[in-house]
Amino acid sequence: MAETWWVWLVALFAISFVIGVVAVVAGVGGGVLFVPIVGGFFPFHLDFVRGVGLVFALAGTLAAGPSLLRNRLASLRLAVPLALSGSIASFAGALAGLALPTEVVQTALGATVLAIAVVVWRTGDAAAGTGEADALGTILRLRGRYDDPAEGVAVDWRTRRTLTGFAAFAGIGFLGGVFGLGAGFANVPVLNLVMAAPLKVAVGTSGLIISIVNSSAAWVYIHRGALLPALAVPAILGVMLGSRLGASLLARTPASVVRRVVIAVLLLAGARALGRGTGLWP
Amino acid sequence: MAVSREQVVQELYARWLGAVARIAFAAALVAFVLYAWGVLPTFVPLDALPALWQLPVGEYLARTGAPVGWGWLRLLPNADYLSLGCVALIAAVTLVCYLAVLPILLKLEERLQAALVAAQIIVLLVAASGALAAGH
Repeated sequence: MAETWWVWLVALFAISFVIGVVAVVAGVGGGVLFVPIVGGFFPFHLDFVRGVGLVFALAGTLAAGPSLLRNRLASLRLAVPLALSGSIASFAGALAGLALPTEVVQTALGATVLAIAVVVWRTGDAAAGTGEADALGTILRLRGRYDDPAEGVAVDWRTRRTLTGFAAFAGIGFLGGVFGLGAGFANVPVLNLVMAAPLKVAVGTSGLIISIVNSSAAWVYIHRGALLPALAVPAILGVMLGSRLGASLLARTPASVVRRVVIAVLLLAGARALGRGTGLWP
Repeated sequence: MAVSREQVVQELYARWLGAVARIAFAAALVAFVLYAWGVLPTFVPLDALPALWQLPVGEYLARTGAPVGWGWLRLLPNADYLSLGCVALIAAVTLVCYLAVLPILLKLEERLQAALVAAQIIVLLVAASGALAAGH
C-alpha cells in the first residue's frame, strides 16, 4: 500500500493530461470532467478532489489567459463585473461544500453533472449576437471588437440582458465553489446565448472568468487543509501539457466526435457520483 | 477613446498574467520535485498518503495534526508545505494582476471599472485571509 502513492500520482497526471486535451477540443471547462472522473474512479476523498479540481481549472485558464487577452478573444472589461458576481458566490459555495456531508455533495454532484451532460447535448453552436445593448451594459461599456481570421472580418459586439447575466454568473459561481468545477460549460452559454457575446469571445472570456472566480474559492480549500499539493501539482502539470496539445489538435478534430465523447464521459461520471452518494454504486 | 483605453489595460493585465503565472508554475514544479525526490523533510511522508487521502478532510487533519488557516506558513521548511505555498502562489496570480491594473484604471479615469476591480481585490483579500473559512 505504502509504495502505491506514485502509481496514483502518475495516473492522476495521465488523466489530467487527457482531460486537458479533451477539454480544449470540446470547449468545456476541465474541472467539470476532472471532479466526477477523479472523484468516482480514484481513491481520493471528494474533499481533496474538489480542492484540486479548482486549481486544475484555475491553472488551465491562467496559462491560456495572456494569448486570449492579446488576441481580444477574451474581454477583461466584460470579465470584471461578471467575475465579481461569480467569485462572491463561489466563495460562499466553497464554504457550503466543505460544511455539507460527503454523501449529500456526492449525490448533488452526480445530479448536476448529469444535468450538465444534457446542457452540453442540447446546446448547439450559437450565432454571434450583435443586437442593441441594454442600459447596464451601456453604463459598464461592455462592448468590444476582435478580428476573426477565419472569416476575415472584424466583429463589433456589445452585450444585452446584463443583469440576468450577473444573476446567472452568481448561480454558476456558487455551484462551481460547492463542487470544485470550472463551470466553463455554463459560462459560455450564458455569455453567448443570454448576453449575446460572440461565441469566440464567450469561450475566451469564460476562461478568464474561471481564472478569477476559482482564485477566491481555492483559498477556502487551502485554509481548510483540503488542498493536498501531492495531488494538485501532478494535476496542474497534466492539464497544462494536455491543454497545449489540445490547442494544436483543435483544428483537426471533428467537434461532433469530441462532443459525443464528452457527453458519454459526463453521463458515466455523473452516474458514478450519484451511485456513490446514494449508496447504489459504492 | 474607450477601445484604446481598454486595450492598454488588457495588454497590461496580459503581461502581468503571463509573467506571474509562469513564475508560480515554475516554483510549483521545482517544489514538487524536491518533495517527490525526498530532498527536503516532509510533514506528512508521501508513502503515508494512500492511507490518508481517502479520509474526509476533518479526519485527515485530526490524524496528521496538519494546520488550518495560515498555520501552514510555519511548516514551509517541509517539502509538502513548500509545495502548498507554491500552489497558493498560483491562487494569488489573479490578485497580483488586479493590483497591477488598478492604478492605470484610476489614471485613465475609468472610475466604474476601477471600483469593480477594487471590490474584486477586497473579495480576493478576504478569501485569502482565511477569515471566513468555516470548517465542518
